[in-house]
Amino acid sequence: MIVIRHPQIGAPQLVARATGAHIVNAGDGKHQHPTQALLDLYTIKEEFGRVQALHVAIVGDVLHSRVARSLIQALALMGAHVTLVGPPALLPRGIESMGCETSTDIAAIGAADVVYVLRMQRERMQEGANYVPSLREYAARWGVTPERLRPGQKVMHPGPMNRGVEIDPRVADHADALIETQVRAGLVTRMAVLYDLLVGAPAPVRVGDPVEVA
Amino acid sequence: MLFGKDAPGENLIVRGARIVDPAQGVDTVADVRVDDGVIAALGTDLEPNSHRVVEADGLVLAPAFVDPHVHLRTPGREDEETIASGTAAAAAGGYCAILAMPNTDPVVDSAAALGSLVERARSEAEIPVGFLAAITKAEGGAELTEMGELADLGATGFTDDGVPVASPGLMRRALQYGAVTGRRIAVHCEETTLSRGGQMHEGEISAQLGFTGYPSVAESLMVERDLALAAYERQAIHLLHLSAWESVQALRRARQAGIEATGEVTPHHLCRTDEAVRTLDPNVKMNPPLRSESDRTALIEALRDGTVTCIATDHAPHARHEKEVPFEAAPFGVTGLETSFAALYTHLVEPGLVPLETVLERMSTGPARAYGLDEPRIAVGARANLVLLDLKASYRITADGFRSRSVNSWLLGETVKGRVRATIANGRLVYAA
Repeated sequence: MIVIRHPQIGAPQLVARATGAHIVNAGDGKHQHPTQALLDLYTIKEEFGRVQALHVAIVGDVLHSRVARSLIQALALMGAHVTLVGPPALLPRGIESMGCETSTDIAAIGAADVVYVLRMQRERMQEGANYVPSLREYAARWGVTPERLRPGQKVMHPGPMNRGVEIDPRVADHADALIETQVRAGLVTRMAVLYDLLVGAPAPVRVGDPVEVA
Repeated sequence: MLFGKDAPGENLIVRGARIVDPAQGVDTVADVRVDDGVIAALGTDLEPNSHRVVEADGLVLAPAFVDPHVHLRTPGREDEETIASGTAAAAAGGYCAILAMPNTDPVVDSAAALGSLVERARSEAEIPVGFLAAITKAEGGAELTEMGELADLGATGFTDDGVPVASPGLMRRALQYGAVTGRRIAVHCEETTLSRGGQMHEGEISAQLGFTGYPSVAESLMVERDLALAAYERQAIHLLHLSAWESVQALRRARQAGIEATGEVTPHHLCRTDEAVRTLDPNVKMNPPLRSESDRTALIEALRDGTVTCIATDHAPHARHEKEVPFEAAPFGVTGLETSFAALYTHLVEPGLVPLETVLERMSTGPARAYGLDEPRIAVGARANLVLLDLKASYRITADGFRSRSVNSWLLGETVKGRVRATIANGRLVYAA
């Protein structure tokens, strides 16, 4: 088995064509991050008992986000309703074809059951590209703050966070944030992926079983 | 001007083919006799005498193809293509003439660089080849080349293909000065501040895959600019590898307005769309990129109605190790010399999208006319430039079947219909299969 994370789209597929080994895509460029989507689904299901018919708002830099692309696809498969929210240049043209809607107005997160905050990927911002005028203006317009949330709305983030940019620290540390749950879910879902591929059968763990996490 | 080996024309007779010469309105079954490389007789039951006989029952004989856009990678990347291998590939593709682009290493921007290519072509070119020279030194977009001297030495035209002439002021000067040389200026239309980082057509599929998009407007904006400059200067212009419907719309309007503008499209843009990029196969990565189905439809319509008069392969060989990498790391470009007719016959003619005659005309007369070359034709007295086509042959494109030094074909693994059986270029049988 080969677990591969690579900065370029399609690297895992290239490796898969060249070997008979199982390939786990641990993130390829801006393309896909499948295990992140699995752990996010797991986290949502643990919290709500279902994924179907939930409304998930994904906020921020969708353009550069492999997390977003895997998650949109996974949520659409599971019957959730997805709204992407962010600055125009960070919502890729044509993304609605993945089965979601888009808005440039942060108020659009108000109706969501889950607000999924993406990291502003500064390292992916080409110099001079001017996706947004400044991080300061981004934070002011699209930052997820307590004032923009309803009580009880759950907040998720794939990490690592830029506190004070895309997410207000008060949101990140609030009881409605599922961010630490996501980290724990990451361990068990990735264990399950490895187990399944190595043993050739699903791991004998039922959803809801207590799992010991180191 | 074209350059090749100085060899005497042959004595040949092609027997029993269906002769299709769309430019002359010819479609008839007859024999063709070639004496010393010149078509000497058309008719039935011609005496073979001591001529070499090419049996062509059930095959189509057409004017051989002219490819106005080929990268021969010489000088600089002879591991990818040489004049010998590229012209051999062209012969296998049914071509009697090809035009090579100047974006080599070093760039063909001086008398010395062009002279060396002409000399090599005379000793190793399997079919005649013409050379375009650069518009600007090193294709740097700053300073014009000595176009007069380059034209005198035989440059077929001028282009900075591979990159645009970014400055409108310099493009204007190129059009003004190009007129003095009597050679056509050909432009690679790309507004690079819009295409920067672009890996594929910007649209639904780029959004889904996460690739940085290369929007259609990056091309069409530059097409509009260059047509406006050509109109203002009342100069001819040739638009390279058009991919977007907005671009062919602009070309159509310009031609209707009387601007002397010609355009070319490639087989891959006519036959494939950005859907192909879902495979993440670097052999469907090229510049400009494969676009949407509506773009493809518009290109086909433009080919049919004569807005676009040239089919060009933009044959761009790349070393295997440079293409066997993730999509984003791979260079732009695909090969095409040996597969163009089969691709077009399979994807356009067989499904009834474009008549055979139109494809043949746009692969031969159209490009020759755009650059002022002799138009291949099947008539007594004409130099023999002929291609023999088997429309029934069906076969699979494989990496071991190429004469090109590179195998980065967008058709690898595909079964196609339509095979070149023989090519006669400048009066010589240069390919037979």
